[in-house]
Amino acid sequence: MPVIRTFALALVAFIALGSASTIADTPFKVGYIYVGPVDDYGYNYAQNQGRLYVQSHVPGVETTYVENVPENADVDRVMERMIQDGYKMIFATSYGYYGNAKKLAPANTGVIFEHSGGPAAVAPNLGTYWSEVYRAVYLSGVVAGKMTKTGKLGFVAAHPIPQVLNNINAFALGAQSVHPGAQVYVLFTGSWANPAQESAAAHQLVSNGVDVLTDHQDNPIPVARVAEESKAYFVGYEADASKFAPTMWLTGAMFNWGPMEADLVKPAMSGSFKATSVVGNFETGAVQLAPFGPAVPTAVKTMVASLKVKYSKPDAKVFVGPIYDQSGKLVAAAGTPMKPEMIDGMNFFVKGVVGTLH
Amino acid sequence: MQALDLVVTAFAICTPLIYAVIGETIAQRAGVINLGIEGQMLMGAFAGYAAAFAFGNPWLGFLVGGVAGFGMSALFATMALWAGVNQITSGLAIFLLGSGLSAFYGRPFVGSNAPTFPDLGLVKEFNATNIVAILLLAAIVYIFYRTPLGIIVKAVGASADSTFLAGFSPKKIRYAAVLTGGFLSGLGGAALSLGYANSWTEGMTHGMGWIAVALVVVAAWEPLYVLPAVLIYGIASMVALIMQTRGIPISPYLLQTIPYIVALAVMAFFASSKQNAVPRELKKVFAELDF
Repeated sequence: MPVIRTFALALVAFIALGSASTIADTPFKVGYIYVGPVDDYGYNYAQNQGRLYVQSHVPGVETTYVENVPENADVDRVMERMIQDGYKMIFATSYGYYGNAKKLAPANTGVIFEHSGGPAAVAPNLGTYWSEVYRAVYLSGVVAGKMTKTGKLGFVAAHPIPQVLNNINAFALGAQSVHPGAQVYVLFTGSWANPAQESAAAHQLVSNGVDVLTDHQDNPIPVARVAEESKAYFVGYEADASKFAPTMWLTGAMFNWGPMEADLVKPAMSGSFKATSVVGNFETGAVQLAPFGPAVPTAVKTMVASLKVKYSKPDAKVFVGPIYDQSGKLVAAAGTPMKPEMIDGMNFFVKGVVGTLH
Repeated sequence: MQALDLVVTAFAICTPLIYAVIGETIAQRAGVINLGIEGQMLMGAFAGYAAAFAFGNPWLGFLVGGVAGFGMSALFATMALWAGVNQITSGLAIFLLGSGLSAFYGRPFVGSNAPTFPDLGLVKEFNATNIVAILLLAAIVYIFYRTPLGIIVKAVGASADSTFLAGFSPKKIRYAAVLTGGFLSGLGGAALSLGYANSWTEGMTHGMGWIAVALVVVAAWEPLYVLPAVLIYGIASMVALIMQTRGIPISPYLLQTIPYIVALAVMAFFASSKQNAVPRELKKVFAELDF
């Protein structure tokens, strides 16, 4: 598989960058690298919406993207190619690209790297950006907790990395806040995009008595469709996928990268760029809650709307004690917010999550 | 009851594999090894989904998926049987071509909302593709063991020369076997995108075509054993999922290797008894590689 990926990649990079480099103007060239297809109605779709926003809102910018780049040395080649072609800024949008960006940044000081979700801005020309999307996931968990009858929620997840665990735990805490004792069954598929495995996992969760499904995969369609057919509610992630579960769609946490990325590109163009770790939230508009589906009663909508106001304030924490881990050990005392480094490096499940991490 | 549940679910998951394994078994019994299945399945999955989207009908999509697999296998047959290119090389070429073409032309259909096969509400998540798989498998098992056609296909794989002397054309029979296999693997791909995963993404078979090649060996080249071989793999996959939902403290990454370990173990266990099962003409394919 890596072989074809590489071939396909080389071809795509060749065509995409080759055609871009023939343009005679000298716009500020910004390159985007995506781990999956941009039409996936999930992570890459949301990222590409950000790119389109930058393209149309920042004058003098020219953007290009290369999609389906696996998280391996292929990333280096795509980046190097972009650098050779005069790209001044590169958005490395997948978690696994961090190492590549870190490696190439020191040798290419004329190019600014921005990485989504990376742990820290470790070079003057390498910044990171992310959003506290788990705040929206918490609210979607509240909706799920309100709607479940069995008290069992299902979560189809790709990999046990901190961002995914943030979402699983936030979803569980949100649900438990309105439905004490609610359980979240987690199945890891081991892949950002393996539709057959995602379908199998979703079916398995439903047969375990789960009546609300959600996911953290690149592409929500397989899980959404199983939910619709099995008459289990569906909570989306990353983009509005309600058309794939028209009657069972509840809501979903969504990214809105555009304004945030525009704010990173502008200083890069004017030469005033300073590498930082930017984190967006409801207040900055980087995080949103998708429209509610037809099944959600007005009372729940009203409740979530007022919670959204509450959690738009940066000091209103989602991860606030008492929080117990899966084994019942206290990880944050009552009234104490969880330490930021514990959230950024999350490596445990909260109480009520059924699944295995390591 | 739980055990029956497990078998039924495993069957539902593995339906695309049934099509592919039975198709490859037919080709290999005729003495042709086609390693292009992964590419054929991807083309079937893509073309099937695209056609269902275009025509608004999953049945039409399913058929087009089969035709796409047929087309890819025709290309393979042209290289391997007509031009005499080594079968292994030809198969790999079809795999690469199918992966690339489906990814390239499939782009507009990622995230599209094509009509797929609905659950029939009979058992579990069964849809039409599962039922068709059972019927096709039964028909092929019957043809293989109970009709002259089956005997001829087996004879070609055992000894092309003798079959030729008996008045048949081994080449024509091989073309037919390869094309039938291609059609079936295309159906398998379409069963994946239209029946099980209900979506299309690049590379969505994730190595299913290669598993199919391995399962032909596990099934000892006998159509009768295709179902048990596929079910062993499917049950192992299900067990890996179920163990996760039970919170068993084993890494999900390790659990995901279970199906492969089980398939390997079965092959190793029966390895010695299978020496005679290999269609003799297949050995020639590998002899060619022995410089």
